Parts: sequence; structure tokens; C-alpha cells
Amino acid sequence: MKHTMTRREITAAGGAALIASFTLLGARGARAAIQSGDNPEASEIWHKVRASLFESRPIANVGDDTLVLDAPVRAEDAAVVPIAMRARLPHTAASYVAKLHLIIDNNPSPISAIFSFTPQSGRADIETRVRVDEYTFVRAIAETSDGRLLMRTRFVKASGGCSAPPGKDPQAALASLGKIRMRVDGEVVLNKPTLVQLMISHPNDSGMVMDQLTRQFTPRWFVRTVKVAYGGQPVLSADLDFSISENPNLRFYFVPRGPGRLTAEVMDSNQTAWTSSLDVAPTA
Amino acid sequence: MRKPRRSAITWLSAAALLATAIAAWAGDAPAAGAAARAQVPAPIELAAGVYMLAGSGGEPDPTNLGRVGNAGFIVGRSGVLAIDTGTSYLHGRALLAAIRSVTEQPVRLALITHTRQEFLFGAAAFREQGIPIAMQQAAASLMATRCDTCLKTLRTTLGEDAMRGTTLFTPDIAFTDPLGIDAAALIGRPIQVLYYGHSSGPGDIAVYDPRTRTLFAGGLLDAQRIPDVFDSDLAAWREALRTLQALPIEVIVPGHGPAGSKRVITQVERYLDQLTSRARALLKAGAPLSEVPDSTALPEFASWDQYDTVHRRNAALVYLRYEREQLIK
Repeated sequence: MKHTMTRREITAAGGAALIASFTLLGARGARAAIQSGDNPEASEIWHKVRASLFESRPIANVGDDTLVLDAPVRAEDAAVVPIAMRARLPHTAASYVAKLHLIIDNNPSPISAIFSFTPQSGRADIETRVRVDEYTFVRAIAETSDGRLLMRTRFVKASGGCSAPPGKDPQAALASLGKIRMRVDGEVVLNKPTLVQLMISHPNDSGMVMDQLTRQFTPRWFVRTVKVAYGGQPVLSADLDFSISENPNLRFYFVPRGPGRLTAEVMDSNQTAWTSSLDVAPTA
Repeated sequence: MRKPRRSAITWLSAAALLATAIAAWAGDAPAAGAAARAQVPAPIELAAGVYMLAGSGGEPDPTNLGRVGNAGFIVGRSGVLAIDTGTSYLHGRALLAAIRSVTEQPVRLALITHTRQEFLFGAAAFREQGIPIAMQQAAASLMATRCDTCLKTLRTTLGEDAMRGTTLFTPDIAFTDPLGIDAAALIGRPIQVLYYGHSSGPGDIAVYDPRTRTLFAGGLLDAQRIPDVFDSDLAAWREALRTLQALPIEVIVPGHGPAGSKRVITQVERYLDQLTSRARALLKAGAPLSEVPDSTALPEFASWDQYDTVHRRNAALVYLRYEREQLIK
């Protein structure tokens, strides 16, 4: 797996992309000792992230009835760890979950993704795949349209180690760069939340992986934003960081209020943009 | 973590059922090097002059000292060919002592079958005695790009004591043409090095003794253990297994697990077929990655070593490969 991030690499390359001023160097000691039994509230990294994103606003720890955070206790592959955040609150025009933040405390850039929803999303529910350092708390923080903050925390172990990939073909990867595949499974029903899968062909290089032969780091190069609309109305906006795995993959919902076109706009850290669309004809 | 483990004794018994001749137990062996040899099971003579050095199975840990993979050797008229070198300098020494316990012939060459830590890092002990190490070029390249990290991880897992003297190395011989390894001339016995391109892994080779029809399968086959598909080209691997099925084989020494008959090939084929067809079905059904490891439960293989770990990772890996194929086609 290409993107297992060792502590050494993190220390060497620390820093955050979504919040440029954020640095991890002060938190190294805390990270080295982290265990599943530790108090997630005591995480020094979390305190920095919290202050930068939410200042002193109260954050309530909630249960599965309000917000689900699906993450494997032990990841099969540290480079591709599936994570889902699913808000269980009513999603109406008057009141809905407007944002889901994904924080991975011990990643080099802990603020891994911020997803914004609209009433047209139907649900604040997203699954994606991330790279995870060996032992970390993962947090989902929902922000409701009336400004409440709700959090779920999980402990994840990812086993890295002896795992650089064999002979990847960078030419083949470049040939399909930016290719987007959108898919809607099953029958699409008018006014019902409909699941979309969006896949983007992109190396999403974290800039943290050193080639052991050349001793060079592959430059950081990753998908930064994804904006999806249906019939011109936004349904999802994603601000992503390089914690997202190679070939970024998003599963989310939208509500078709009639026949229309689902459009996706993707931009990477080199400001290169790609678009894709899918015509949808819901049944009544 | 649940880890099915098989003791070396179980492996020995299983292998003994198949072997025409049973190896002498430790009591019959010369006293020299007893301390080092005590750390590896006695060699099992599977056929005339063909020996297996059984690994413990399981995942590397301080108890098994990371000695989880098999090794072996073939004794010719004028020398010994060693197959795989163990997981550490000390393990390599123990393997050499075990070879010494059954033959006075000099070890002429050590062939490394594939790029996994438990087959590589004993090389230092062989080289210390002037025994050259040979690997396929692609395996040597993969080792150079990856194994620095493996070695660090092993040191952390097994401790400095168990890993002392162990270093990353460059093989003395990196060959592209397996015919370039003239074992007949080296040890005075015909030996075939089989190479099927990038199959179970880049540069994975098998060693075949035509006289006794014994196959040292390296990374191509594991027995009663989930084979790791991480480095594989699945189609080429499957094709290589078909080719092996056509070869006259009496005994197979797999990379991990007990020696067996051709049934070992059939079982790995069955596993790969079930794994890949499940992955394709899940992708077609639009299942999310998070559900893939659970949805790829394969009861037929649930008792195999590493089912709870490597199998789950295999399931996700194969699903992701097919997904990528779909994305870029």
C-alpha cells in the first residue's frame, strides 16, 4: 500500500493543507502514546483542530441515534480505510445537517474532509476512503443548519508496515487521470433520497511517500474539491485533503424532484478541473 | 486478534504422511550447532536428498521469532542448494545448522523464491559463510524498494535480540532468465527454476526437482493458509497454477503450511476463484468497500491460517482492483 504513513514521514513533512497555520510538531509526544483506552477529549491534536475549526463553541457527544460513524476497528489496508458518517436527524428545508467534518487526529493533516449538504441532499450521509496512520481517533462532527455541533469518535488501528506496492504503472494511471465515474444503482424514485457513487481516477499523492530507491518524495497532488448538483441545485460540496485515498470515492445521496442531470465538478491541487454528468429519470 | 496457529508438530505429522522417508529427529543428528538448530524443527526428508525446514505459520511475533515460512534444501553429489533463507540472521544460521545436521556437502547457492520477509532476511548468515544469494531481478527490485520498511517493522515486532546481525542486502545474483541458474553444475543434480513472470508476486519463482518430482512452490502456493494476493497479478498467477497442474509432481513444499500433494494447487485455485468471483459480484451489486470483507466470507477456507486477517484484506484488495479496472476502462 502506497500511502501508509510512518511516524517518521509525518514528522518530516508535518503541516496541514486545509488550515495552513496548523502544525503537528507540538503534538508528537501525545501521538506516540495513544491507545484505544485513552480519553479522546485529552488529545492535544484535537484541541488544536477544535480551536481552529470551532473556536469555543460547545460540541455535544452524541449516540448512534443521532450520528453514526462507521469505521473498522482494525483496518484491512491502512491506505484504503472505508469511513462513513451518517446523520440520523430529520433532513428538511427547515432543519438539516449542513456539514459533516471528518477529523483523523494522527494524520499529518487531521482535517481530512468537510462535506456540505443542502436540503436537496435528502440525507447528510457520506462514505469515503481514507489513509490512516497506525493508531488514531477518528471523529465525525456534524454541524446542523441551526448551528449545533454534534460529535462521534472512534478508535481505529491501521496496520501498515511491509507494504509498498509492487510495480505500479504511473503511465497507465496518468492516461486515465481525472476520469470520473458516477453511478446510481437501482430504481430512482421521485422525491426519495437516491444513492450516488462517484469515483475519480487520481493518484491523490499525499507527498508523504518516499521512494526508497531514489530517496525522493512523490510531490503532493490530490483532489481538493468535489461539487455535485442535480438540475443545477447543489447537493454535495466536498473540501478534501490528502488523507483521502488514491482514486477518491464518494457515496452520498440526492433527492430527484423530477428528471434532470446530475453534474460533478472536480478540481485538484494543481487547479486542474474535470466534469462529468449523468441523466436521471426518476419514476413516480 | 484471532490467529489460527498450527504447531510445528502438526506440520511435521502432516508432512510425514506424505513423505516416503521420514527425517531423523533431533536425537539422531550430530551434536554440532545444537544450540542454533534447536530453534528450527529438524529437517524432514520428503524424498531422496530433498528436505523441508518447516516454519511455524501464523503472523510474526516474539514467540515464533518471525519464523513463519518454510525453507528447504536439495542435496546433490557435489553440493547443496538451499531454498529460502529465513527471517533473520539467527534464523539463517539455524537453517544452515539444520542442513549441516544431515549432510557434509557444502552449500553452493541459496535461491530466494519470493519477496517476503520470512524468506529473505536470513541471507546475511548464508553470505557470512560465502554462500551466494540468487533472486529473480524483479524480486530483487521489489526488495530494494520496500524491505527497508519491513526490516524496521520486524525489529519492532521481534526485538533487537532476535533481529541482530540482520541487514538489507543486494543479492549476489539477480537473474532474469531462470535457465541462467545452472544448479546441475553447482550441486551435481538436475534442478529446474520455474518462473512464470509476475504471478503471485514480481519475480516469484518455484524450484522443481525432476528426479523426485518435488516442487518448492515459494509464493505460488500456501497450504492451509490464506495466500496473500497483495503483490499478485491474479490472471498470471492463475495461469501459472494451471501450468503447475500439468507438471508431474509427487510432493509440494508450499511457502507456508505443511507439505502436500497436488491437492495444494487445487485448493489455492479454488480459493482464488471464489475470492475473485465474490469480488466481482459485490462490485456489480454496488456494495460499498466497508461491507466487502464481511460479505466475502468463504466458509470453505475459514479454518485456514490468516483467514481473519489476510483473507479480509485480500477481499478488499481484489474488489479495489476490479473497481479500478472499471474506472479506467
